[in-house]
Amino acid sequence: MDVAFSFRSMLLCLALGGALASCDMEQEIEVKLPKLPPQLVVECYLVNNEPMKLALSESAGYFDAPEAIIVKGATVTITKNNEAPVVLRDTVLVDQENQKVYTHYNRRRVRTAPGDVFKLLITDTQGRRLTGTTTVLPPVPIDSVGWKFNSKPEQSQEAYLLVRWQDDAASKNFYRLLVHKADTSGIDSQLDAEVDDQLRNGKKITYTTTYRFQRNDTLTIKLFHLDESYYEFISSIEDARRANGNPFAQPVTIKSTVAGGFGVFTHLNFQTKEVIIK
Amino acid sequence: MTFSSVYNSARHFLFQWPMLGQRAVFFLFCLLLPISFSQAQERVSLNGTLRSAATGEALIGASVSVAGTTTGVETNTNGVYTLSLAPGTYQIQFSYIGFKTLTREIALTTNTRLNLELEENTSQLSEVLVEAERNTFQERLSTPQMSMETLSSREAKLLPALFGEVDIIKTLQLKPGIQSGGEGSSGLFVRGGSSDQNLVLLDDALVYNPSHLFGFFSVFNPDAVRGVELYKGGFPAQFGGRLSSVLDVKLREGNRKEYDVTGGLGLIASRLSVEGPIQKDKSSFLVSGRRTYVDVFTRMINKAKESDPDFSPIPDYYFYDFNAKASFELGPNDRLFISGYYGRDFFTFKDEDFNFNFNWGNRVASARWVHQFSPRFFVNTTFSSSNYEYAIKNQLDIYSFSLTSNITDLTLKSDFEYITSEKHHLRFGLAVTDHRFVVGRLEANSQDGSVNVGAGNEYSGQEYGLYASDDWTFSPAFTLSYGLRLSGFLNDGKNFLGLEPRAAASYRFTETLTLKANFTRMFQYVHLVSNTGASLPTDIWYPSSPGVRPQRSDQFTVGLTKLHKDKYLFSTEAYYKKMNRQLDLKDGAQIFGNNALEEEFVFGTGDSYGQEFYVEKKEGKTTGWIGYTLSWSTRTFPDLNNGKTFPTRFDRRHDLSVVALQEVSKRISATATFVYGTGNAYSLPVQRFVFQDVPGEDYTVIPVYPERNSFRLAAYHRLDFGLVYKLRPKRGAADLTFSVYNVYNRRNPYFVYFETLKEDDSDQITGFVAKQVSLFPVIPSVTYNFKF
Repeated sequence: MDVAFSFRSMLLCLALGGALASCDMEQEIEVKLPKLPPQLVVECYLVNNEPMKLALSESAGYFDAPEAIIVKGATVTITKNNEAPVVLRDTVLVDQENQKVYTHYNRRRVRTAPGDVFKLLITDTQGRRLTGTTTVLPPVPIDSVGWKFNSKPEQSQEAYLLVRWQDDAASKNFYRLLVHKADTSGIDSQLDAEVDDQLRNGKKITYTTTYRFQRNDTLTIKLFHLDESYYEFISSIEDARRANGNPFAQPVTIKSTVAGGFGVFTHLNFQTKEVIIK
Repeated sequence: MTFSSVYNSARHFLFQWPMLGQRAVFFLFCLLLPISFSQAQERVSLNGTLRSAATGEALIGASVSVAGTTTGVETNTNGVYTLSLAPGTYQIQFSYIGFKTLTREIALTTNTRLNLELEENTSQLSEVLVEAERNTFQERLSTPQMSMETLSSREAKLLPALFGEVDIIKTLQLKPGIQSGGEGSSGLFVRGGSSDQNLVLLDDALVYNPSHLFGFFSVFNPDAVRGVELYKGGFPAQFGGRLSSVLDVKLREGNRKEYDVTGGLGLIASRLSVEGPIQKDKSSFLVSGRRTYVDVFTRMINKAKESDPDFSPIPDYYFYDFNAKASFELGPNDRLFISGYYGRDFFTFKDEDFNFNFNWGNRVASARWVHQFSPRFFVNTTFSSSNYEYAIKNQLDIYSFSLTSNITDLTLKSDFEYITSEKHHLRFGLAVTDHRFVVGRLEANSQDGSVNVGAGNEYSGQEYGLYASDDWTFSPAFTLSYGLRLSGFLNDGKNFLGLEPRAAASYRFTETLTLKANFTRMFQYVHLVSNTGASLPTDIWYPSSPGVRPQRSDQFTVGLTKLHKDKYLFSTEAYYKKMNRQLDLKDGAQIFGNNALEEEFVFGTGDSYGQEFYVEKKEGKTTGWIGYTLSWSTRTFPDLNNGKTFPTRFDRRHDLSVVALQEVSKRISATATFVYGTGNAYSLPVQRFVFQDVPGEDYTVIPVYPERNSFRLAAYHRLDFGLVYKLRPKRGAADLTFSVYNVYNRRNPYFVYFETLKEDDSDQITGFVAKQVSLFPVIPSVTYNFKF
C-alpha cells in the first residue's frame, strides 16, 4: 500500500467529510528545467538460443516532445568470453507481439552456459562510449506453485498464488518473479516482484500474492535468476518512478548495469511454469 | 530492562569514568565551587513560592523584582524565587503573564520566606498578554540568555488553528528561526537543524516522536500543557543530547483549590480534562484526554459505498492521547510531581481478505522530587521513562507479517541550584540514561510453517551527562554565564566522550540596549534513520556505535536587544552553526528487514547560518509580534549528490511571521496571523528515458534526478483569522473559538510531480506536464470550549 497517497486521500476526507476532495487541489504549473546533454540509453537481454537484439536510444529533457530517439551511426559489439566480437547491425526491428522496438540486431543465435562472460561495447559518432559486462547464472527451478480461494461466494471468489523455490546458500541470489494471465488485454504482467535472499539464504523461498486471481485463470509464471547489478537497476528505476509524486521520497540515482549511460546489459535466465486456477 | 540497569550505569559512570572525565569533573568543580562560598555572608534572602490564587498552581517564570531597579529574578520551574539583598526595606514587585501585579513593602533583616498568590486578570486578551511588561522586557535585557522563545498554552489558544485544533508547536513555528517541515506540519526545524535534533521534554521526560497524524498535529494537548520554552541556541549546561534545540514542555499541575472540568468540541477532535485537589492547597491532580473522530465518518462513508464496485474504501485513522499529573506538597521543603503521557495513532485498512494495521505512539512517565536544602539551595531529582514504538502488522489467510521498532529509555537525573549571592547562581548536576533499541524487528510467518523469516537487531547504550554552570553578574551592566557539560555514551564496548563548553555574555550599554553573544557545543548520541526526507512514524532511532560516531555541533550567536518606549522590544540575532558527523542514507537504502543497517549509512557535515529579527508589542489593545529570518542551511556528503553541497529541504531564505491580537471587547478578541516563506527546496527530474523492459512487461518512463533539492517550490504564504467569543453560561465559563485557515484560499504547494499524458484509446504518450498538489484550501472551523 502506498501509505503516502492513502494518507493524503484520508486527510482530504478528514478535513471536511470529503467535501475537500471536490476542491481542485492540483494545478498545472510551469517548471523551467535546465538543458542537460542527452545520455545513451541501452537495453540488451541475452537469451540462450535467440538472436542478439539491442535497443539504443537517448535520454531527453523531461518536457521534450515524446518522440522516438534513435542514435544514428553507433557501433555495437558483443563479445562472448575471449571469442571474436559480434557486431550488431544498425537496423530497426519491431516485435509486434511483445510491443518492443530494437535498433541493433544480429540474427546469429547466442549460446549461453552458466559462467559465460559477455561484454558490450557501444561507440557513437559523438565519441560517446558505453560498456557493460554480464555473467551467465544457472537457472533456478520453480519447486511448486499453489493457490487458495477466499471465502466469498463461488462466483466472485478470488485466489492468492504462492510460488516456492530453493535458494542456493553458497551465493547471494536475486530473483524476479513475473506472472502473466492469458487472454488479458495489454502485455503487462499481473505480478512483478523483485526478491533477494538476504533473510532466507539457503532456505525455501515462498512468495505469496494477495487475492487477485479468478477461477479458470491461466497463468504463466516466470522465475528469473538475476545478477546483483540487474537487481539493483530494476530496484532503482522502480524507486525513481515512485519518487515522482511522493512528497516524502528522496531522489533516486539510477544504478545502471552499464558504464557511460543508462540501461541494462544482462542475460535472462528463467524457468517457466503454466497453471490453471481451479 | 530494570531499575538495576540504570543503577549499574550510574555505578559505571561514577566509578569507571575514564581519566579524562575525572580530570574534567575535577576542573569543573574547582572552577565553580570556590565562587559559591566566597560571598554569601552579608546578604539576606527573600524566597518563597508564587502561585495562582484561583488554582493554586505554581507560576513558572514569574518576575520578582525590587521596584524602580533592575534587580530581579524569575521563579524557577517550581514557582520558587530567591532574591538575595542587603538588609533593608524594599518595595518588591511580583508579576506574571495574565496576572495582576502585586507590590509589597518588605523589611528584610534576616532570611525571609514569603509565599504569595497572584490574582488573574479577567479580560480575555490581558489574561495572557498584559503582564508587567516592563519587568519582562527588563529581564530579557539583563539576562545573557538568548535564542529562547516562550509560549503559554493560553496564548496559543487565542490564535487561529488548522481545523480549530490548537497546537502549541505550530504556534512556536511563528517565531523566528523555527521552520515547519511544510504545509500543516508540526515538525520543528530549528536554525537549519533536522527534526531529530530537537530535545523534546515533557515534564523532564524525553518524547521521541512529538507528533500525531504523520506530523500534522503535535502530541501536546493544549488543555494539559501550561507552556513551553524553546532554546534555539545558548543552551544551558543542564541540557544535552541533541544538536539543534531544546523544547521544554511543562504540564499544568491541576487546581489545588477546587474541582474543574474543561473540554472542547472541535471539527475533528474533542478534549476533556478533569482536575482538582487531592488534599486542598496541598496536592492536586490533572487528567486530560482527547481523541479524533474522523474515523467514525469515514467508516460511515465506507459502509454507505460498500456496494459500489468502483469505490476504494478510505483507510481508518484516529489518534488519542492521555496526560495525567499529580502534585504533592510533602512538607515545607519537599514537593513531588508525577506525570504521565500515553498516546497512540492507528491507521488501519481492512477488508475480508486483507488486514493491515499500523500503530505508533509514545509512552512517557516521570517522577520529580524537589527538595529545598535552604532558601538558596535546591535539588530536582527526576526518574523518567520514555518509550516510542511503531508496529506494522499485515495478515493474509495463514500468512502474517509484522515489522516493529522501538526505543525505551530509563533516566535518572539530579539538578542542583545554588544561589550563592546576587552575583552568582550555580547549577550543577548529572544524568544517566539507559537506552534500549529494537531496530526493524521483522517477522513473516505462516500457520503451516512454510514461511518463517525474521530480522532485526537489539542494541543498548548508556548515556551520561555531568555539568556545572554559573550565572555571574559581574556588574549591573555585564553578565556572564559559563559552564561545561561532560557527556558520554557507552555501546558495544566503545565509550564516546564529549566536552561541551557553554558560554554566554551580555553587556548592557544603556537601560534599553543590550549586546549578547554565546557559544555552545552539543553532542548527539542517538540518531534518527530516515529515508523520507521528512519525519515519519517509521523512522528508526539508532545508537552511536563503533561505526556510527556521535553528531556534534558548534553554534555561535551574537545579538542586540533594544527596548523602545517600554512598549516595543526589538531583538536581532545572527547565528552560525556547524554540524559534524551528520547521518543520512545511501540512495536506494533498504532500512526495513536489513540486519546490516549500518552499511546503508553515509556521513557528512551540515552548515547553517542566518539572521533573525523580532519585534514584539505586549501593551495596549493591539498586541503581537513580527518575526523575520534570513537563513541558509546546507549538507555535504561525499557519498551523496556526487559530493556536491546541497540545500536541505527546509532551507528557507526568507521566513516572515506577523501575529496580531486585538482586544475588541471584554468578551471578544480577534487574532490574525500571516506567514510568508521561500518555497521548500525540492528534487525534480530533469531528464527521462523510456525503459522497454523484458518481453511481457510494458514500457515505462523513468525520471532522471541529477541533483538533490535543486528546485524551489513556489513561495508559501497564508493568512489566518481567529476570533474568541466568551459565552455567559449559568455555570463556569465557555467560549466559541472561530478560525479561518488560509483566508484567501491560497493554493500553497505541498509537492510537485510530473504527469505523463496519454491518449485515452491508444495509451500513446502525448506529452508531459508538471502538476502542483496543495493540501488545504480555506478551512473555517469552530470549537466550543467549556469549563465548569
